[in-house]
Amino acid sequence: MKLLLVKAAIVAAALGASALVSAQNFDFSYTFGDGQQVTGSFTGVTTNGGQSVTDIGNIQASLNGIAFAPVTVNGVTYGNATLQANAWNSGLEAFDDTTPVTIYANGALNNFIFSDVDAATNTSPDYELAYINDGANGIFQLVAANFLQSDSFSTAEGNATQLAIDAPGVASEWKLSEVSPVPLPDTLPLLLSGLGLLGLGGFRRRAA
Amino acid sequence: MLSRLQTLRPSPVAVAVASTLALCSTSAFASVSIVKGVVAGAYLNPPVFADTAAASSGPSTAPSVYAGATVCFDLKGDGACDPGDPSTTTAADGSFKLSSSTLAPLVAQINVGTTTDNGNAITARNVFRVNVAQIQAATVSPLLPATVNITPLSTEVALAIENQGLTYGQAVANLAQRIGASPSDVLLPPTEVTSPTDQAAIVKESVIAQGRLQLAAKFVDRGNTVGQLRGNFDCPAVASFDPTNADGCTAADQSTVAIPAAEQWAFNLEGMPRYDYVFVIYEENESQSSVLGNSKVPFINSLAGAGGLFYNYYTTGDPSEPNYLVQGGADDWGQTGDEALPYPAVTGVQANIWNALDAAGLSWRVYEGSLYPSAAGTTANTGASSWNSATGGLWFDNPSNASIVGADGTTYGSSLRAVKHNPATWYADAAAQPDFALNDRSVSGAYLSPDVNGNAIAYTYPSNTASNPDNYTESGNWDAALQTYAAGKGLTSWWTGGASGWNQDQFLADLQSGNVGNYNFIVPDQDDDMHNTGVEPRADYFAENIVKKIESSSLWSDPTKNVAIVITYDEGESATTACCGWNPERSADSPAQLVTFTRNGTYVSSASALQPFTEAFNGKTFTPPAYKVGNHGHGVALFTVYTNQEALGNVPGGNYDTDYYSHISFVRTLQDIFGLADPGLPGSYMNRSKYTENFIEQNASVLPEFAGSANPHFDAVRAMNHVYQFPPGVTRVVASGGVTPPVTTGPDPSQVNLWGTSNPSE
Repeated sequence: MKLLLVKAAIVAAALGASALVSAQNFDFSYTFGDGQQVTGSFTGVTTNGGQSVTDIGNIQASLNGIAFAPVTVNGVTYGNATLQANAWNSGLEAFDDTTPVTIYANGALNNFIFSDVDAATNTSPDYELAYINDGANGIFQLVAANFLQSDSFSTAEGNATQLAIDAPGVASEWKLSEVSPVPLPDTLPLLLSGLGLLGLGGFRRRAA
Repeated sequence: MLSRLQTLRPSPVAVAVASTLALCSTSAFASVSIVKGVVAGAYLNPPVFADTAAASSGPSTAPSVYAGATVCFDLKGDGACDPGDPSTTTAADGSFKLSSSTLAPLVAQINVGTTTDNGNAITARNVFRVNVAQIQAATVSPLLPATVNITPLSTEVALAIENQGLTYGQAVANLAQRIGASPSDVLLPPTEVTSPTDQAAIVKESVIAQGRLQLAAKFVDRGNTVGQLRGNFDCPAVASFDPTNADGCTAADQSTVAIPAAEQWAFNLEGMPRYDYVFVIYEENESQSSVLGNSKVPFINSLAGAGGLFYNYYTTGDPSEPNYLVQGGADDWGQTGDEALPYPAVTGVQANIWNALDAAGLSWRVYEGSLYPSAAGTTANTGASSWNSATGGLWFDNPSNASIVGADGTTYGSSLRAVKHNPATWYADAAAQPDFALNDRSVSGAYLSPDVNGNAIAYTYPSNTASNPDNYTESGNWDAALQTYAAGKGLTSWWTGGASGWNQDQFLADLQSGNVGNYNFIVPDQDDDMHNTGVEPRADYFAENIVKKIESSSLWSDPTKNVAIVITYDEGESATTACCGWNPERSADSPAQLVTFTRNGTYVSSASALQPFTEAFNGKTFTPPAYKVGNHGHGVALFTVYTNQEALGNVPGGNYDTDYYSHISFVRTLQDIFGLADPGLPGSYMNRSKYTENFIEQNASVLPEFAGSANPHFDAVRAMNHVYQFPPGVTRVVASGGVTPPVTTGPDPSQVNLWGTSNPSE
């Protein structure tokens, strides 16, 4: 029985993979000069011969292992679980929605922000990863901040352990890698069923 | 993913945050201000004062960073990192990063015990600040970190914005112009400034500002009142001691201050604004009544009219030297003659104005007229009447030299330059400092000599006098003859360490280069200071020559700088009335009155300190005279101050002040102007300049010379700040040799501070 489930899952996964169009899953990381690290993932479509990614979605990010995630206090939730991406407009020296966000493997080319708000209209996020390399204005810096996860408990403001800044940034510290194909929505149930079977098989093996 | 798991199962950190958030308001916690920077300034390695050059060393400075400083967004605006203020601690390199949901000023607390300055322990708390306008100016986007350094100079910018109503840009531009550095450099950590010129200027300013700001922290920690800080000696009330008690002690004067206001007071000690440059032209032996209104000296009178005139300025001794001693150190140590004695037993930072300036990172010069050309480190003046050759002849009266012949055919005589008129020479530890010879320089008042722009300085000889119109030209003849003599000998200037040829008018060169001291004491030769001639146009021309040179300099025309010119006299003549630290009722003094006070004004001892003492100095034994035979003061002399802010039309001139002041008051004023003492700590003022009404009252039992004082206000020392207002009906003391002021009872028509500027604070 167990072997059958595993085989079924493999088949289902293979079917799902064959149905992919272009969306892919990417992992990223940046290690700051003081040792702090931001990690995460997003989905997107490779462009420029695989050197850049557009159509960014499903953004997840963590600073020092603590996720950019909502916090609820007295019934009020701060922070948005859905992270957004905005591009840096060097002409305006601001983030905006007019330019599609492109994220590059080459860290010297990035100009974007991930945050829980639309950075084009809201400059008060609860967490953010801003990565600006604006040669026209002489700005090359990264900041990762999780203002809801401070260790300065008296203030809940960002501080040394949940506030990372590199200015100037170090392009070589930016790591971006494609992880695995992502199925299109119509193949997702089938893929999930196969993955679920695979997972169940694995769980049962560990339990044994 | 990891982040999702943590969302479902909140970490202990998140729980703790949530608990804290529950105590806060329901406003959003989002950040609107992210900053990074360095807490930086300068480190001052203090000078060592001793009676010998071998045991002395000068100060040195270096750019520095502060590690372990507390940095916060000052949400209350009180200049302190309070609970609830977003805060962090600077790293070993002085760096910090911080965010806040509320834009607020930044504060860096330099703490004793936890903060280090270039690795050196902090000995006194300090607070640096940043105005929100600086954060805004450095902010490209609220989502990106703004680089904001917290330094003594950022604090000066904040003070200028707060107190002068300047924009951030104006405040930075003014500061840069005032100290002579690029606007793009002044708010950098000095360690990051690449221009050597800018770095030197910023480090010097950082040292000066750090000293002031340190005072401000003390004012706050000590709970000093506004009355104390503005120099109102009736606050706290001392009515029992001072029957005039004119000002009383208002509620405002009894209030205490937080850091922002305290820092403003620290740059306006006792209400005296900070001056960048002070020039004193010191004349000789004439009472106020013989000069004021005398048509033979039209320029000096015109300056007194254009600037501020002090009607009751008392000299302190007769003959000259005790007055010069007071001018250098706020005491004459009981010396009653021109003995040419050094004072090796009086040592330390607060021993004299020269040491205090050195210790604060400020510069000083004594410019002497008709200085005899001689090489540094030599005994060129062999045979002159002094005994110390260690300073290369600087201690000597100049010798007569028949080979130096003026245009009128006379030969150079030793009476031209008198070393007793140099107020720094007699303080042994000041003279032993490495910078002493570098600070003792030449000045010329040569007739028709040029100003800094090369324009000849003419003079209109007063036509209604009978004096020989050629008299006032002789000084020029001397300077030309001395320069020729130096060139013939191939002599170099000792104040350059022998690096440059002898310059008989280094004062003009220093004005051109901006290398004058912060404090400049100008000593005309004895033909130019009325000593040998009496009240004659020659001295008037010399004074005009010096003033015109200063007025032609870029220092004077720069509105960001505060520059003052003082003309006054050593002796007032014709009177022995004492004032301001000298009580004439000293006939009962027994034993003598030399007592010792700690910096907080506490009396330490009397009997043991009252006796003459003997001390070895440079291998010779020195016994000062017994203090009990000291001077009882002297008559009133002209004292006028003329400032560039008056000349620029930024503050009115032509006012007067009829309160009682003296040489000792002037030294107290200089300590305020240059930030050398602490108004909240009476004993921190040097020597007798600490003898305020409050101080005398608190120490009356050990100051018997004041025991019989009928008018403590008259006998006490105060800064020349015009704070005191004569009560209605109280008649002023008018000494012989003085001029009866226009108002003899009640307040002056204007109680404006004659030293006031349009830059009342940083």
